[in-house]
Amino acid sequence: MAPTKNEVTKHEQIQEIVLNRINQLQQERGLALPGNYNPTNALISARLILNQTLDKFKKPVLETCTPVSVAQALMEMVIQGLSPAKRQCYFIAYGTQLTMLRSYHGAKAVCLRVNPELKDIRAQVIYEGDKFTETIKNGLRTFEHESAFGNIDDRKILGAYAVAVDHEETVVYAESMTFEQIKKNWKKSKQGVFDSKGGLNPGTVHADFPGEMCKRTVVNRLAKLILNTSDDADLVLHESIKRTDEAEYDTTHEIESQANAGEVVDIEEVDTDAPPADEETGEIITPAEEKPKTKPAPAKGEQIPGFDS
Amino acid sequence: MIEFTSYASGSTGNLYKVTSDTCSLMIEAGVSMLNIFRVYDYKVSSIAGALISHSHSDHCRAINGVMKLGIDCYMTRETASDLKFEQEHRLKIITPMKKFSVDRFQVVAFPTIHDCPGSVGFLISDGDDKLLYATDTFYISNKFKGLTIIAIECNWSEETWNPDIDLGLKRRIESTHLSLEVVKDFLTANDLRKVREIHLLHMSNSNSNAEYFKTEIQKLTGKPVLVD
Repeated sequence: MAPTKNEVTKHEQIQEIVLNRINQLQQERGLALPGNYNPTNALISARLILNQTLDKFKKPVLETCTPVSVAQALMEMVIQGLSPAKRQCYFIAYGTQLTMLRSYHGAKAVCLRVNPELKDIRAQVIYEGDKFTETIKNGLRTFEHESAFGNIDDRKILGAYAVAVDHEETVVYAESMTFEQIKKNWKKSKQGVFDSKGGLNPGTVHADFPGEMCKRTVVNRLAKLILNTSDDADLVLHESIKRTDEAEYDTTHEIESQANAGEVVDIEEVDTDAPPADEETGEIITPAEEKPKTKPAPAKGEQIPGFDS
Repeated sequence: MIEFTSYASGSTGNLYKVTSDTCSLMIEAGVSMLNIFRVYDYKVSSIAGALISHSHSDHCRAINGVMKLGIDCYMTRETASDLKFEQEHRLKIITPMKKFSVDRFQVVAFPTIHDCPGSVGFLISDGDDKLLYATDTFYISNKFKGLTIIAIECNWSEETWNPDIDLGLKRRIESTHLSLEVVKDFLTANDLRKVREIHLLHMSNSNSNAEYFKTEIQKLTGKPVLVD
């Protein structure tokens, strides 16, 4: 679906707001973006992706999500220096709130940025039939993993592990999780990964690509360790990372910013709807015949958390 | 003067009656037709219309039966598109945040946050009283003026979780149903000066405590609280 002219202007306005705010954060609070990161390019590719992104009811998120939440999601993307074109982040709608989530490429990028001593973060899935041994030395886990191409089967996952290595290829951080632990983590996600019978909900990324999502979960756990033990040189970045983590798991954030923040409804002042049926002839206007109506205006007085801090 | 009565409330079925003088409205139709007949003592001609908040079956199980009785059923387009109708001429599509009339009642539907597209709550006035009806929602975004009766979901609380609950289900409830804590915030954020009664609806079977919820809301508001 091609965006209308209005939508294009709206998006350009959001983009401008985000860029202005980023400039301000750079000047006033010492936000340092990665040297090779171009916010405008990231915003343009985000726009292309958002045009195609649907919510769980198969509606375009740009229609259903509030502009404030779109701006906030794009802000978090730029602050964390993530590129949607490189699949470092993706966008998910929780109700009318657009949220930016980091993929494991994104978690990796953020970790390498925060801790320049690290060279790489690697994650692997352990499948049935693999030879996997885990030993602990000085409190650090070390893994030996032998796999075969034929073992790769997303229905037979035993677990996953991730390691962070420095420039000498020494393992500095390591983390492993059993599939049970991973599933427990998924249950905490706001996405509704599991159905009422405990199976993976079809249509979720977790059901489609369980292996990749296992890597993401274990990398995220490792990332938490790296991020929480790094110094606070870049507070704006750390605040943003924390908000992204909370947005995925914590519902209080949405309540605090959205509940009781909308417009006041006084029944005497509300406009009257056109009658649903033709009163004289009694002819029914069926849903198909009716013109599509625009969605209700976004609630006024919404606050973007972190915008004023 | 509006009288609000709850006949069934919760995830097994919902049916509420709003009466003003001789005229009455039905909210939800999530019980069997037999129960609807019993509630209205078979005098269904007094029902001016039925308001349906969303398309989950505990809220609209009997929709086709109700339509067959010749009762206009009001719902949003998204709700209607999720349901199968045997006949459509009793279907009235409503738009959130636009006022419509059903007999002597004026009604405005406002959006709620639930895992169901097009879900709404209702603000109902008979010119005298103003009733707020809101259930199956994560929180309420709007604020309201001059309410006299509040009928609001109070499904769960941080204090009353069943320790054996499945984590996935807990996650779902947490972001689709009103908690005691969020209800308290809502009541604090709105002007309650004219409110004369508060009904707590849609309590979870295993994650709520009616007496505790009632006491907490009474302590906060000083208004009569009814647990339906």
